[in-house]
Amino acid sequence: MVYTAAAKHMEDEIHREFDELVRRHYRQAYNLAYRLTGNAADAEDLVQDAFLRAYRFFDRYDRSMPFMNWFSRILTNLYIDEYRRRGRLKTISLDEPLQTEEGEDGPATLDLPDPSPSPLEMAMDQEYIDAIHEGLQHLAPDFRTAVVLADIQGHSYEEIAEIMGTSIGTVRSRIHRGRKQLRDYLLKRHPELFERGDLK
Amino acid sequence: MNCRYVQAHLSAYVDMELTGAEQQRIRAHLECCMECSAEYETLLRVKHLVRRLPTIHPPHGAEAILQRLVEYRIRQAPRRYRLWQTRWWRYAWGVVAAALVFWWTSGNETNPTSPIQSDALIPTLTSPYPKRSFSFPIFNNKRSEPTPLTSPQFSPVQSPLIMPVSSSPFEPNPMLVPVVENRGTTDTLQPTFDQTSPTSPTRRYRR
Repeated sequence: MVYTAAAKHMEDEIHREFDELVRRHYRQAYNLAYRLTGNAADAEDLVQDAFLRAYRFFDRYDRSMPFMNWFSRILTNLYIDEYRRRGRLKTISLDEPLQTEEGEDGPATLDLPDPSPSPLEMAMDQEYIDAIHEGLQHLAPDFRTAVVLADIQGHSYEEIAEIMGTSIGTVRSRIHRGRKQLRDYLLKRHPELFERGDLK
Repeated sequence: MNCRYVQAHLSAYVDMELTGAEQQRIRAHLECCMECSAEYETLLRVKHLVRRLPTIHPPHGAEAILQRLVEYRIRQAPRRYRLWQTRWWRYAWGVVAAALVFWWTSGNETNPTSPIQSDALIPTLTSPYPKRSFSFPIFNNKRSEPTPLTSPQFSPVQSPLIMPVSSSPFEPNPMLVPVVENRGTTDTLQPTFDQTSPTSPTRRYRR
């Protein structure tokens, strides 16, 4: 009886701690997942799976490091491994023309939830936002993950190397190649984005 | 430092992930190389564009995740405690069953191997209740005439709800003391023997 009460109490404490972490980091995790998967439904699935996996291995979490660094590793690994295995990721060459399933030219429409942009973000047109988002989806998963972790999540190269389980040199290479591919994609469609003085 | 080296390190330069000396050298190169400078500008712009992507708010709250967590915990919990719980309840039922058997046998004093052997050590009881009904009717079929004891000792129990603890090994537990009948007087209780069975006499107190 004593053993159960103590174990139950400890388990309740862990449940409370983890639930609080879910509430605190859910939005950031969803944002990361959305930029990785490219759509709301997959992002939600990915976040749920990642949190469930994080809970299963919560005893391995080193509380001296930020939760989001540890969780990002789980989420990105889950994304790269599992989602690529399921064939849900389609990496399209930047050279081939964009075509929808009906064969019409032009980018496929993505279901974008209401982004509720801040006043600062209002400066960027939705058209450009969509273009950048689509450009990210055309990157290879490893490149996209590195770019998103660096530029959206704001991680350092060292943190990204730890999250992705690679060397800093690999991270540097992935970010560089990812940015160059994204730049080429955007230059083709919206060269005005690179005109001097814009978007500063 | 050539253009190839600089262009390979431009993203790291943009992210300020190079050492101080490398940052200085690349900056110096960019000031004098138009091609590398143009490349740097586009990569810096890409970083700004991605960074300025609006934050996407999830369509649903964290409740869906928390709900899945609750379901997962429920699925996992029984497996963890099943063994322990089963064993505990098995022991509990055993303990309860043993206690019931013990209470049944001790309350009727039909056991011939009762530890109460000496009349002198048997305490008498003054109970406010008409009868300590530890005995079941099936065992109270016949009674004999009272036989006075030689030297009864008195250790009255104030309340039947309080079970006194024996301080001496010779002083029996009052719960094990034979049935007492109170017929309305406060006279001394006399222990008697039920002589219905010669082989196993049941001791009784009668007035």
